Amino acid sequence: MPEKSRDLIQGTLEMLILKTLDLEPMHGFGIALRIEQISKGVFQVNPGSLFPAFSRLERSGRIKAEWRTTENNRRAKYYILTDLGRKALKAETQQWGRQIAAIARILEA
Amino acid sequence: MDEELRSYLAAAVEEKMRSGISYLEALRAAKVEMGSMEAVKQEIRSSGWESTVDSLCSDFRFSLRMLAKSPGFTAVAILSLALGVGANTAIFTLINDLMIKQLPVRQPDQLVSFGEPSGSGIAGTLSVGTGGLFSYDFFRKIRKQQQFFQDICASASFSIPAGVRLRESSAGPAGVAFFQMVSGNYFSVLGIEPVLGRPILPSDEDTPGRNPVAVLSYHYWQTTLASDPSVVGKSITVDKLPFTVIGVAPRRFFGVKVEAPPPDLWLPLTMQKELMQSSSLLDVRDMYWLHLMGRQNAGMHMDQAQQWFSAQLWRYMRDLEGPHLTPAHIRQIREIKLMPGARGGSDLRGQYKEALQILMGVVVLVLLIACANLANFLLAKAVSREREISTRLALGSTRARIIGQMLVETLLLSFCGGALGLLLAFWGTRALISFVVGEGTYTVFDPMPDMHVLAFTFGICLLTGVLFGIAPAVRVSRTSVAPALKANARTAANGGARLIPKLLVAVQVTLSLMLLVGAGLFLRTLRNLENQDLGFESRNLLLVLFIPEAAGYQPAQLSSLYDKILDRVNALPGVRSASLSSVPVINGGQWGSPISIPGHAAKQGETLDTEGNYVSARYFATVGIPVLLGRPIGPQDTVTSSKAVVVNQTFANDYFPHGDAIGRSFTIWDPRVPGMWEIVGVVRDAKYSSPREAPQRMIYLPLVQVTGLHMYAHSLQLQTVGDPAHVSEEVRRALAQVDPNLAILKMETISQHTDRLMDQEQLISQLCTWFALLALILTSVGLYGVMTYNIARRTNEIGIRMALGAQNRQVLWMVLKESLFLLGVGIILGVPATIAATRLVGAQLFGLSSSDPLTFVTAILAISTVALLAAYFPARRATRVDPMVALRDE
Repeated sequence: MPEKSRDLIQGTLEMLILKTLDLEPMHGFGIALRIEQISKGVFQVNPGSLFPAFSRLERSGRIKAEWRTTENNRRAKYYILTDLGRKALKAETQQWGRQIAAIARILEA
Repeated sequence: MDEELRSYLAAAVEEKMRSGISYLEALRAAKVEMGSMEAVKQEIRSSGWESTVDSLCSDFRFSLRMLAKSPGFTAVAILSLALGVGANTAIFTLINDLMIKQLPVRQPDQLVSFGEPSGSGIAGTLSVGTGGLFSYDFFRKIRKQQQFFQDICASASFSIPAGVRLRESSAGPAGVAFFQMVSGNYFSVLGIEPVLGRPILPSDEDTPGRNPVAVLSYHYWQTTLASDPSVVGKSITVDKLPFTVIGVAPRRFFGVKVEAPPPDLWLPLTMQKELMQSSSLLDVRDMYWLHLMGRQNAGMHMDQAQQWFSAQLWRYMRDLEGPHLTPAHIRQIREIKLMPGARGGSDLRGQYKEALQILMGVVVLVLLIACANLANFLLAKAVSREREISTRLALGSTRARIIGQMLVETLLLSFCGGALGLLLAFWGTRALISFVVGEGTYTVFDPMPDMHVLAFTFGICLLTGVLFGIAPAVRVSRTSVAPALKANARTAANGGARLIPKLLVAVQVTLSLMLLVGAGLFLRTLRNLENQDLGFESRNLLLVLFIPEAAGYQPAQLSSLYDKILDRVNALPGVRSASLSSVPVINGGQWGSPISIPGHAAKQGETLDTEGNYVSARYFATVGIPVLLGRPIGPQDTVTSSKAVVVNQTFANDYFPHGDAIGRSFTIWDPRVPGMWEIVGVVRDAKYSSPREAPQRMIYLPLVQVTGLHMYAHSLQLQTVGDPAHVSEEVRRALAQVDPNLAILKMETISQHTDRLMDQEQLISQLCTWFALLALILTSVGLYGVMTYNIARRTNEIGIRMALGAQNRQVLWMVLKESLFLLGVGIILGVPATIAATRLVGAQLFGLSSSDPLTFVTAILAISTVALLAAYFPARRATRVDPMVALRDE
């Protein structure tokens, strides 16, 4: 039985989604799968948190949506990273890096 | 969104199938992972702000439907609120008009008033500045000061009625208009631009008697001149003096004093001698009759200005009185302060301030009672919706949304009530204003609510809605899901829901008791005042107020006019006796003056003074004041005979305690009544300005023996055989026969006249009574509602009891017990609270103490009766419960 998925903070989930989309546009399930795969099962995102995050990101203009056909000839909504999103991703990554370093220093002190 | 979720699901299923599970299992696993589709959708939807607005709209529509479903409840709630809010708004509008509103001038915050402009008239004693009255001489002296003020202007502290005629129509009686004299820079200091023509300018003030120009008020121009656009340059006569109209003031401008009636004309100060037909007030240093108002310089410091001003006063007094000023004078000087002039002055303000404050307290209590009803009803409704709310909670609604919906419902109720209340208030304010000011007179009071009032009303509605809506909402949203969903709840509701309504009803009883006692106290005060012996004829007296100046009579012609009038009216069959006087027998404003009695030195710090009236022969017989010693003023007092004066008991006792008043003489300080006046008679005391006053000194001088303006008698008294109202038409005709141009300002019976002196008390007692009744109704409705509701919830219990053998009587008693308990608690709390509250209004009462036992007992009886009646009917209904029906009821 896989470990209970840790609760992701709202902002972190959005950052992860942006990062995933940085590589290529993807549809909802694909993003969830990718996050799970890359984190080696630590983070399992459910659609209840995923879709609201998509909605928020869309509203703030960081991603945009397009209906496309998948490999299996299904119609799915694909999300694409915008320039604004790319910039936001860079800023948040730096911010996250600083936070990690600070926590590490505190823990090691 | 649906499509997206479906495709997500499909993709998840495919993924799972790739690892080898069957389709069905994959589907189930995927679905489990996703959770409820609906919940997800809801989650997505609610994360946007549009969803908040959306949910507000649907809440709004839902609330409307819910309210429409129970029209009775909704109507009562809205009506209660409307009455409560309406009453508050009406009183507040009046308070706003009288006490808060600023003058309609440019930048009123820059205006500074010199002293408190409460005086109205000409003061001649040593108190420069008291009542905000100053002399022209003083005005000219300080006007030169430029350091603190941009400019200082002066205006007469009173308006004078005069006969005004337009040149063309010189026939018929002159119309009566009120004029006020102002300095040349009056309009410029106030920043008033006329809508037509030009204002009065400093050049109009340069030479006394040479600038007969007039500025009309907008209202006067509208009504008397039909808004004639070519009025500028037209000639009019004011008391037969020619004046030229030079401009029309803006619509809302009425001067710097809130008074009734406001002036119709503004004339230059320098025309004073001609207009008042007496000696000039402009040259005299110690006659104080002007209000002074200044506009601040930017950056002026009030303390420095105050110091400068006090220094000026001190210097002025020293010039008048010599180098040594008494401590009393110094204290007086220190009391005259510079005050913010933004609201102007008002004598009405002082009169009605307490009454309005009391009324404000009263209507707040009424509003609280209405709100208690609202809260009870809302709570009852909320509890009855428990099942619905539990279902919603189970379906995933958040508590916040439920509270939100109930708040929307409450706010909807309170704003509807508020809107209706505004309408009621408008109508109520108009009635109030006409009461305060007198029927049919034009007034500066505006019944239309302005921004302050609207904000006030809005605030009340909001506060009421939130305050009284949030408690029930929160309480009910705490409902736990399971118990309420159970079909049969046979026990009575838990204690919490029953406590609040009971508490509220008890509070309502307390507040109603307060209002009832208040109403009772004021009603009895009014009756005590009405029954007071005023010292003169109180029934068969007719008073006529007329203006001989308006018909152009000069002082020399007055004597024969008076004779003609008296002869003519004495001949009327219904008239027993008639006389004239300068002011009516009991009148708000009096003429008073210091006097000096040879051989009688003033005590330390005391001035000898008295009030006075000028009367014709037969005055005392006509008004019914008995003569105690000596003789009254009679036909033997003529212009040539020795100066005679009649004094009252208090005067005689104060200054001639050995009873030797007759034959002694004294001088009066007022230069218009010079010479030694010999006391020829002593009459009984009477009340001269108000039924409440303490005994005052009073002297009566013969009209024919005074000079100048004092010779004008304005009041004609007639003692009648029967009801004075019956002879009024004949008197009017008789006067018209004497001179058709004689302007009659008012004709009223003595009872009408004295009633007006008790305006304040009448206002308070009438309104208190109405509000107390309203409170009673609201409380009884509340009690009825709470009782009915409680019984409905206990129907099961009652049915069981009856099935087990309880008698009707026992059930009745069981239910009534509750109401009696509430009533008792309310009264026990109410009595000490009311005693404390009525102590605050003790000063307003007359003839009874603020803890008068009779009033208290009556009030307690009244509320007990009403409460018991309100509780009886639901209780009776409880006994009619059919046990079988009750047991089956859920």
